[in-house]
Amino acid sequence: MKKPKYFTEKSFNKDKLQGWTMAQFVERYKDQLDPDELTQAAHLIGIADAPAEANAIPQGKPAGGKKAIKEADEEEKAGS
Amino acid sequence: MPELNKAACAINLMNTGTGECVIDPKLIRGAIRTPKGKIFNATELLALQVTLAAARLAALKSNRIFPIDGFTTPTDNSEETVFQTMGDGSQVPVRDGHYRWLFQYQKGGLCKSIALRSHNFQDTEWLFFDDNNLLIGYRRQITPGVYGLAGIPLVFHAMPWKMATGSEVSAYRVMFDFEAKYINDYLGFVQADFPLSEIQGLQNLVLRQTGASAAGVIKIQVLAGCDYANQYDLYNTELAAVGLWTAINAATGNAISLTSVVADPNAKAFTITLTAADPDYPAIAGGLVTLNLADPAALDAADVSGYEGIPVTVQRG
Repeated sequence: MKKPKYFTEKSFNKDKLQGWTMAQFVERYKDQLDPDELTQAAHLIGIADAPAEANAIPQGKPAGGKKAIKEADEEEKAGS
Repeated sequence: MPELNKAACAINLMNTGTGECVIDPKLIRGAIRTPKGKIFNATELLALQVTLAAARLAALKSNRIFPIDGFTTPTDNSEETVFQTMGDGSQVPVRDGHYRWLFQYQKGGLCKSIALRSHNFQDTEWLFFDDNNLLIGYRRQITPGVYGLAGIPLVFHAMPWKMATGSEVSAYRVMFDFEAKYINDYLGFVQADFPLSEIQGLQNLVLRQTGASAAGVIKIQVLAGCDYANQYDLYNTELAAVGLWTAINAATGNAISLTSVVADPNAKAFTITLTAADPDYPAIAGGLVTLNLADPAALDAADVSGYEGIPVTVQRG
């Protein structure tokens, strides 16, 4: 039986995750954490369910400006 | 003050009366290698336990102390004072003999022996401590008129181990050879108010990759001791912290930031996610990344006390 992963707020580098959407977080961590753990972790580090409409950021891209979008793109490329 | 054509035979004559309290070193139970040239000043000696506890955690090995305790069997192989026999039969002293102390120990066995042999053939300085926690070294001047306690410059040699016989266990021994002046004319000592054997040397935490690297993700087990025991069950809470791990690009030596470290109980390992967007993250899959734990003081602050990580270099996925 799989045991739950252990993590706390200290497990995550909030600076590097700043501006991430839930979708991005799930995409990055789906291989590491189970669904309920993903929700729990996202909650711990303050990742919102979805970017606010007003931010007008393309689907799946992080809030946090061009830099964050670029970083996320690079990360996706590296991950592929 | 030195003066021209004036001998200085009698200026340092000391009185020979003694009070009730005497210094009488007991059985030597351990030794501490001190950083080269290090003099512990009065402030540091007043808080000796804090000073030594911090010194064993120094990030740089050149600033670190290396304690050994548990000496069981001392053998004094010291030279006698060398005398010259004159033509009329009288003997005059030529020089003091070297101290040559040999100590057998059991604690730590062959693993400690191997570690101690890495200190052979070096220019080293050591303090000794006895059964009464008397810390013995060399009274060394810091500035004119101000003295502190320094390690004795000596030749240290951890001997090759001797095999067990039908009547004796395997023998692990260390030898110290030094000039007599350091613990006679220039003796320095401090009476510790705690067991000096409490100051223990660091243990290695060996990092080992488990499974294959995925994109930006590497799973690492943390092992300790001669048996490489997995430390997951002891430290899964403490080490699941991104601040306690480091990563560098093995090719450039530049730091790569980490995004997360999550404890994985199924693999008894830590899942480390590197920040793939970091410019120092290797550009191509298979690029080498060196992972390590934070320095011993940072580990200690996180209640992972008495350890130092040994870096591991792995391919990124």
